Amino acid sequence: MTSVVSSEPSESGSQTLTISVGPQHSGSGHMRLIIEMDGDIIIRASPDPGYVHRGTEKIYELRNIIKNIPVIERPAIIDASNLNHAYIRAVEELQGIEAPPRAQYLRCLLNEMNRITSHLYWLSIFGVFLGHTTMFMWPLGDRELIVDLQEKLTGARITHSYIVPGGVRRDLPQGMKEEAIKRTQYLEKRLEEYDKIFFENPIFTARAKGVGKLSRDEAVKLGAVGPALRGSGVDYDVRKDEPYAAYPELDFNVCTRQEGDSYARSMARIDEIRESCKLIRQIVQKIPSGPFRRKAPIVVPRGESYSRVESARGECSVYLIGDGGDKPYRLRFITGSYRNMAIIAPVLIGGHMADMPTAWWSIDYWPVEADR
Amino acid sequence: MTVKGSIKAVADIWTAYYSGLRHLFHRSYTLRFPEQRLVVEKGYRGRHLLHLDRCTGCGICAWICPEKCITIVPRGERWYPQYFYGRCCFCHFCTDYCPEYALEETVEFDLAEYTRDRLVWSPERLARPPAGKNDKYVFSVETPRGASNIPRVGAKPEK
Ligand code: SF4
Ligand code: SF4
Repeated sequence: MTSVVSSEPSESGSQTLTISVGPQHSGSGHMRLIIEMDGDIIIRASPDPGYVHRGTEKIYELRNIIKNIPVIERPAIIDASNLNHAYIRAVEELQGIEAPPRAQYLRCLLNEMNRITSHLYWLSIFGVFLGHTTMFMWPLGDRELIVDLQEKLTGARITHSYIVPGGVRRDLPQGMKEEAIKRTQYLEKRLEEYDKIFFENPIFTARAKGVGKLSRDEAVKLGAVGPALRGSGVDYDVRKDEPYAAYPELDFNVCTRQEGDSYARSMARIDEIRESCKLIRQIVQKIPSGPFRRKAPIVVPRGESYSRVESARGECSVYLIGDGGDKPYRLRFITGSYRNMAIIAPVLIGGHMADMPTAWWSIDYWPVEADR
Repeated sequence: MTVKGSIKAVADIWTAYYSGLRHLFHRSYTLRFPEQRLVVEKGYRGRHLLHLDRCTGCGICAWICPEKCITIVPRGERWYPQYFYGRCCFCHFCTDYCPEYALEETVEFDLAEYTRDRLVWSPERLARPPAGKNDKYVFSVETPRGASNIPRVGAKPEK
């Protein structure tokens, strides 16, 4: 629902209009964006988060570390395993245990599959808010290729609860290797068709190129993360800069684009899907044999730990304080979208109202993940 | 816009239309559920199957359940878990943590009911083997007309 909040004369004497986009998902996600316009130029934009705040950080303090796993996944169910990975790494650091190498590879496998499904989900929403209904249907359909693989590996389609302290819950099933190779190759072929129908479509490029500019310096200053940062030409990816799990042994590129506009941010994600496809094939071919889980106590020893991973929407970090019981004493959980809230205003201001969906969705801000 | 630019724009738009139109001849992704059903492979985390002979009523499943949906109820001399599926998130930590291997995952996933009390599964109901459904479609990327759901090898043809 979009509603007019006020209409008053600005300092220059012209009439400005303040409208409220959201919070009931009118193309803003589940949050409110207060936008002030002069004509149809946005002169002020302020995000008003909190509509889907669920107080998860308090909930984490009331449950033991295993019971926390499904709750940790909830803020971003389409990217569940990446959030879960950050949490489990913090727990393992306190417990002083490390998962066996096979488990590290399996974790990365699921992380990469989640990255693809999350980016495809974003693409379908991006497509539909730009009025391209085909781009809504195709990625959601092709997402099924990967969701089906996730189901084979973990037994659940989206909220896997797969990564646990000490390793993962299931081994690689039979036939998974061949299926993963076939499907990722098929997906890469489909991405070429996406280029033809959408990313090289003059109607899309006219709407996305040069829209929602964010300069390199501004992105760094405001602390943007993930594809929103890499779309502004900053080569930063936790998987490369602070490698964890099996990433040091895997060969992949960090996908950056220089322009810093909506088109660059979108293409950074599409490049990442291609890179993740390659990573999945590498992982299933390289995966070492051995155990996939080792015993871990249900206890958080006294101390502090910090871990971060690269989730689909950027760096996700967990700061954990343990007091020797089975529950976290305090768990601070920061997700990519929360960090990207700072760039919403600079990306929107100065643009046309009609360009708002392009600029806004190219950030891939996920209110549920940011509000937690 | 230059002449060259316009020609390129027209060509690009035609490419976009063409790649969309070609999909008229692709197979569709979707199935007409519930008449047509996808085969769910073993290992899927659907509803639970309780082995009454193995369960000791220890209550570990109820302790580990993150959603508190298990209640241990008496049945004569013994105690068994009773599930409330309105809250279950199908994490299957209960199955993992059961020391007697009395719980098992099944492929049954369509548990919707019209009333809330029908979502409470008594131990006897949990012990019933999953009902066989007419699942016969599998997802494949190897069809000549794009990825789609195809009838499983050996499945009965549709009437
Ligand atoms: S199902 Fe397993 S964990 Fe639950 S009460 Fe029975 S034996 Fe104990
Ligand atoms: S699957 Fe998870 S939520 Fe459901 S009863 Fe078992 S432990 Fe509880």
